[in-house]
Amino acid sequence: MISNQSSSNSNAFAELSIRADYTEIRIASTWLAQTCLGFSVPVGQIDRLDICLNEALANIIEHGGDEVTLSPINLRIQINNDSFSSEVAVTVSDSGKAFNPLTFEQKDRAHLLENTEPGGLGLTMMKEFVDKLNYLYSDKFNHLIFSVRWDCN
Amino acid sequence: MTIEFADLDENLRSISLTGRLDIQGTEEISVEFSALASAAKQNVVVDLAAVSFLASMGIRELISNAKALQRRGGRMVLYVGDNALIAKILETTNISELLPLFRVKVEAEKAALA
Repeated sequence: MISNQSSSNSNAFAELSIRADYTEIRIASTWLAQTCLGFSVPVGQIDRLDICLNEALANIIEHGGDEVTLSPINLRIQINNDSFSSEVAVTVSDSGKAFNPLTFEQKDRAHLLENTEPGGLGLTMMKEFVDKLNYLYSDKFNHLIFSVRWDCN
Repeated sequence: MTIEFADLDENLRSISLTGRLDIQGTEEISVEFSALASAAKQNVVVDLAAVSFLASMGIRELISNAKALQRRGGRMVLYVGDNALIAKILETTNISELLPLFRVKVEAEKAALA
């Protein structure tokens, strides 16, 4: 685990590298919470980011293939403040198989318990709990960027 | 993650979870949760009021055990109390359509026995 952090009056960022291993997800969550609390991000916004981060990392580790272990997963928190609002953006970069969660077609969910297949909820949670979700693939890395925004007053 | 249970009557068991139900937390309670949910009592209230975080893996655990319980003629309902985060996750993912969700414990217990 490698971390880095910087801040000014209106902008700040922090970075962390983790291994592609399920046991590292909680480390990432703890880092996210501590970093955001240090920058006075409201707890409710941290919860939203945490949900998306957990699901993103679980997907990467489960579906990233052998390639995902070739490089650490890099995490970056970027905090932007202006007079009226604040935004926190989290970028998750991994060397796993290319996967765009924005274009992945999900099955319709069953409405009866007996017909429900466990699983497939992670993408739904990622899309529902953040304000913006973007994806790009460059230099053999997936980059997932998600953010939440809130008014200052 | 901690797990406790109480048998409220001959047909109703309450299983209380406390802590973070992420991948790690789910692995910690999975075997015991399945054992408790599949024991002799037919109906189960899962108390999530003290769960601080719920990942999709935790939801999968609830769903798979609820399905197993239903196949045996039982029923699982969820109690969240005033835990707004957990209620929102369950409602956003439409899990509350599949597993009845209650904020009042007595109502959850009645529904489980209905």
